[in-house]
Amino acid sequence: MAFFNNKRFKSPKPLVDYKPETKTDISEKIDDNIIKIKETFKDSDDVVFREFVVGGENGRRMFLSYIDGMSDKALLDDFVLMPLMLTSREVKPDYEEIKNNLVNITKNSTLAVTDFKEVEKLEEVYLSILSGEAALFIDEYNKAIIVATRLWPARNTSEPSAETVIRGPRDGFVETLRFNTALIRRRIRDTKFKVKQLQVGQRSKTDVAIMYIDDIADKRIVEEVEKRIKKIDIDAIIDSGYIQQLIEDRQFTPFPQIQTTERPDVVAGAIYEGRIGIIVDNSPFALIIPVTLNAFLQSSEDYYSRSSITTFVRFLRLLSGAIAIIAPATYIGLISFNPGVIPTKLLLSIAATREGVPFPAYVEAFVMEFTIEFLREAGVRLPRPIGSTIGIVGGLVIGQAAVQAGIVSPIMVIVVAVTAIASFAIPNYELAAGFRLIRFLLMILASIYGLYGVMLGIIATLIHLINLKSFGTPFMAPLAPFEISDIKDSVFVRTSWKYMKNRPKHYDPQDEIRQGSDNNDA
Amino acid sequence: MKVKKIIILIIIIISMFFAGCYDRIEIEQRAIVGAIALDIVEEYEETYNADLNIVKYVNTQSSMNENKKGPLISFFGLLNPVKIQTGEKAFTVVKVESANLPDSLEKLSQRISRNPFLAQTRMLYLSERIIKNEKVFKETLDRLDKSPKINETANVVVIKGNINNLAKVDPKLESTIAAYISGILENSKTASDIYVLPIYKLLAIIRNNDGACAVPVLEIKPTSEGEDLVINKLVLIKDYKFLTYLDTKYVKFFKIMNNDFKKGRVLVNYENNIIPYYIYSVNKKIYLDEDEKNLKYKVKIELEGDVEELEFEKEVFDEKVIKKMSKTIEESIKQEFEESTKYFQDTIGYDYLGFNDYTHKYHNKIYQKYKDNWDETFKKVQIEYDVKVYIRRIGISKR
Amino acid sequence: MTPNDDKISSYQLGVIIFNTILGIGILFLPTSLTKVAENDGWILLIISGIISIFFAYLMCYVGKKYSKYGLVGTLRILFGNITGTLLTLPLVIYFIYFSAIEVRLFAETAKLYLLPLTPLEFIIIPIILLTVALARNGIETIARFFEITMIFVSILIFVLIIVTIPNSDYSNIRPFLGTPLVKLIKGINASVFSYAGFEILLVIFPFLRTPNKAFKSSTIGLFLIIMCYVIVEIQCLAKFGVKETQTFIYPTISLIRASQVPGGVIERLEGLLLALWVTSVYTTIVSFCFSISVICADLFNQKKQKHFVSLIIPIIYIFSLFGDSVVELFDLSNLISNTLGLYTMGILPLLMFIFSRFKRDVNKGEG
Repeated sequence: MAFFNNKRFKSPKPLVDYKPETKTDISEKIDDNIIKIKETFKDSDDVVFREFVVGGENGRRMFLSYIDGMSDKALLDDFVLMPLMLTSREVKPDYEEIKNNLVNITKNSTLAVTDFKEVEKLEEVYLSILSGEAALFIDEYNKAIIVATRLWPARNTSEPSAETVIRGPRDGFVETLRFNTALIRRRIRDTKFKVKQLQVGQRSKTDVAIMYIDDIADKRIVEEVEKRIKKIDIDAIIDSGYIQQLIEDRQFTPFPQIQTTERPDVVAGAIYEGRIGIIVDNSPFALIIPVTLNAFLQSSEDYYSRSSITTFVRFLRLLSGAIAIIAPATYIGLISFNPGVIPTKLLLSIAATREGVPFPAYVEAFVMEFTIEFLREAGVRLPRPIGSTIGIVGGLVIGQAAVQAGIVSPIMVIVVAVTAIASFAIPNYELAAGFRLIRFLLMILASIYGLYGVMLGIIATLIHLINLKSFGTPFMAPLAPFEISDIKDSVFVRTSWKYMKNRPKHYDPQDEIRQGSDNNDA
Repeated sequence: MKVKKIIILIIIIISMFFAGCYDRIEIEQRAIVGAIALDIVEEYEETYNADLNIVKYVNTQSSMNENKKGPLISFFGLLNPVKIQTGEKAFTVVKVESANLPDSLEKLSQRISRNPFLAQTRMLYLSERIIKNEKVFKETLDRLDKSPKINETANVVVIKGNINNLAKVDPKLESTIAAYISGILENSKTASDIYVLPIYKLLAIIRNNDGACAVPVLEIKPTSEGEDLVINKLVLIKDYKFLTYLDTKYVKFFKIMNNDFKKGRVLVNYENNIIPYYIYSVNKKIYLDEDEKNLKYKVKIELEGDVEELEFEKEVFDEKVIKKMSKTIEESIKQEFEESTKYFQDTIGYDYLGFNDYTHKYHNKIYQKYKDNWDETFKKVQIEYDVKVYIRRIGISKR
Repeated sequence: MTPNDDKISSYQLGVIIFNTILGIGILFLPTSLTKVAENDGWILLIISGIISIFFAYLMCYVGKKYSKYGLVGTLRILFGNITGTLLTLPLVIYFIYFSAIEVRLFAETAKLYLLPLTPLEFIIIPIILLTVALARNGIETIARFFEITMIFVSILIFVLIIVTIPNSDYSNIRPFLGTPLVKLIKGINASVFSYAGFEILLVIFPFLRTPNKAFKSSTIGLFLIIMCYVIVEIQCLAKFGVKETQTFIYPTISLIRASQVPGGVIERLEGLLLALWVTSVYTTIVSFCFSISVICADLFNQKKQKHFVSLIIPIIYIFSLFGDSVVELFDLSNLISNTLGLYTMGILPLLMFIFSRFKRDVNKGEG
């Protein structure tokens, strides 16, 4: 709370005090283990228990358990059970030798799978089984062998629907964490690239991967992110949105302080800038930390297309952001309070169209803004073919009908439409959503004070934005604090790649140099 | 803590919302005043003693009296937005009698259903009677100066003729008279006899020159097809009072001397042809010599322009012809200037030509000697002109 | 790398100086200047700007030397406990009065041009509430806010100048030095106070990351202000001439009113620009409020300044309602700057400078 704190971060408090779990050792007697496992997975009919004996009648008893549907049955059959049950029969059993060495033989020469590990605790076994791996118990052996057999129905990578680009890669994240990390690993072939995995959620045990490049990313941010994720005490993480909201600096703000994306190239680019990516299992949305308003107004495409065009596009985005926030409020302020600002001819034509409109401008504006919000919400939820129909019906038919019925003036329809289009031009959906809320605040202020109110609202919003910090990085960087070298790649301009020699300074990268000085011929 | 803050904020905003909105006047509730015309009642003029500055036209003393009749007659040209869309004649004139301008606005509110809105006013017409009456004119100027609502960039025009006839003028291509007249004034960019004077400039000039100013004149002439109007004259005001009308032929000279000339045509007699010389650039320089209690000004004027026509099948594409032509134009303009100067020095006898200002700005020491008696000095001053004419283009044919 | 220690860089100091000085004053400036110096108002501005830079230098000299003690601490070191504390009191009153007058003048202007029917209190309250919201957050946040508004205000001033250029007669600034020298010197008094605001240098030193660079950046900030002021003054003269400029109450707004945007995109500028000018006025009030809260926190030996902001705000609000008419308000404002302002901007820095020179000889190890 203190503003004179010397600490860089304020960590959110954990929801519940963390309780360490008691852990049970695996017994040497296989029967104990079987009973315990069966007891644990009681009434879970998708868990498969397979008991078998290796090495004839008096052979060693073994026990395999996995969850049907989450494990690769073919792999288990061909490379686990087959060698153990069949191949071992073909070998003449030298009983004593095998008996003593069975565990080693099994591990070293029987199981033909690449990935397996041994665990000592039953809880770890449960977790592995729940994650889709198969657990193999051997009699008189106090460890369990976990065979990585994860395989479940998964979606193939496809183009992300929320962030389409014209120029740029077409792959998007899927719901499987491992695929996602692979998509990023493919873009960063560097030994310094780290993927730290944590498990979050008392019951869901969701995998969360923190990704960063060791010698670029700010160490303090990495530690802070890890700390905050570890502090999360929740029953389940369904989507990365949970993580996002649980580790954010401030909760009561319409502005997101963590960027989300479906595109691996965006995450990779961010990681190269010294930021940190977080991937959460079961969610195709990766998180990027820290983020600034500047980053929200950029799209991955910006870096692939020509700089002059990008600069223009960024200017458009800045303009559209401004319009999305202030257009309806300014309309109210101008029409109801300060019509002197409007050019005479326009004023007359507005006055003519407003003649006969029964409501004051602010009611009109609120009615139309809410209508467009309804339309947007309806369009998102409906199946795609119907969604676009709703857009057309709403946009054209209702607008036209409302004007003809004399409920709103045509100029208001234009203002609302321009505002809606402008808010779609903002690359990040979550930021645009935040802007929508601010827009309503400004509209209320404008209907009290006119243009003065709009300005007050902008100042208030600015104070809020200035106060926001995303993991220690000021939200308005590089404008405030001003960093001249970062303006090269900011909301205003993107210079050519040849001139962006250094990484953005406001992310505090350890290694600021992005390009060698050799290619500086211009 | 946070939630409480947000709730308090919302409550404050909502309460302000319901208590506030003091200034909210919807656009369709405003009466957009396109033009204001001011006049005074005839009786007032009769009872006004110009020498003593006393008004005998006495009002009742009660300050709350509704029937307080004032000397001021104001006409408000109110725009009707709906009709402007359809292109009809789209204004209504409301005539109000009142004590002064703010009062007339109040009286206007009693007469119309909407709230008077002056921020978009384009024109301010003053009747001849107003500028002839020092007290009323000063009062009007004061109002224009003090009001935060009036459009300072509106143009001022003095009406010669009956101000009541203004509303009868046919606005030709426009739907309002104000748009019509301000359109004419816009033409001053290319036409040389039109002088434009926005309110702020009127105030600045009249104050800096202690009550001397030139205001464009709008003449209303009755024709067979109704009233017609023309703007090509000036009225000279001295000591906040009407001095005289300035004829059209002096307007160009006046504008050049006051650095207001932008573009325009002069007609010159060249070998018995009246040729139009279109000036698009004027460069004026003044030099001052002082000798024995008299000032000598030398005004150097460089004009750039085109000769637009001469005569069919007569060679123009010839340097000699061009030189001869420019010589003729030079002489003609010089003569014109000298005559005009004489008119200003002898007939008008007051420095409207900016020599006062020039001397003050560039020869302050000399100015300090003469400043108390500038009027007399100006009458005696010698002014020489050196006109240089450049003909840059001659159209698109050689002969 | 930006450490999170609630301190500001020297660039940010320049920005703060710029934003603090630039406030409501520029709206009234040309009239008072032209009144005393006629055509030479702009020369007067430059002279008094240089004088302000000199006093800023004195403040920086002392501040640098005692950068960790803060104003109250420095005064206590230099003059002893009781005298030091007493010397601070006029400063606090001045700061409070200054921000109150700033708010009031803005509200008066806004009432005249923007919201003629809204009660004055209704205009004052929201801006004061917003002041609390920002001033509580400490210098670093304030500095960042100012950085954003600086861009905004610069664009605004640029637009203002561009728009007013047409139809100006720049020969109006002649004759140079036409006014008697005695009159000019008398006028310095009035024009120096148009730079009021740089006295936050007295307070700001403990928050500087590099106190040694303070003078340079505050000079740049002041220099920018001088430029803005001079341009506005010249524009006003060029548009209206001397005698007309002398009569205005709100000359800069009159200047805007007399200008038109080419192409007629915007008809009347003054409403728009005045609404936008809130930011500039707001930044001034915020930094004054912050300064008061810092001084108060030091006086009462409290570490947190933010609670004092909430305590001061009602006082500023009450003070801002003093003065029945605009005339009285202007008189009051003149009175304040001629007494308390003179003390804060002139006498106190001079005293501190002299005493700190003296102090150095006594104990060389310190400072």
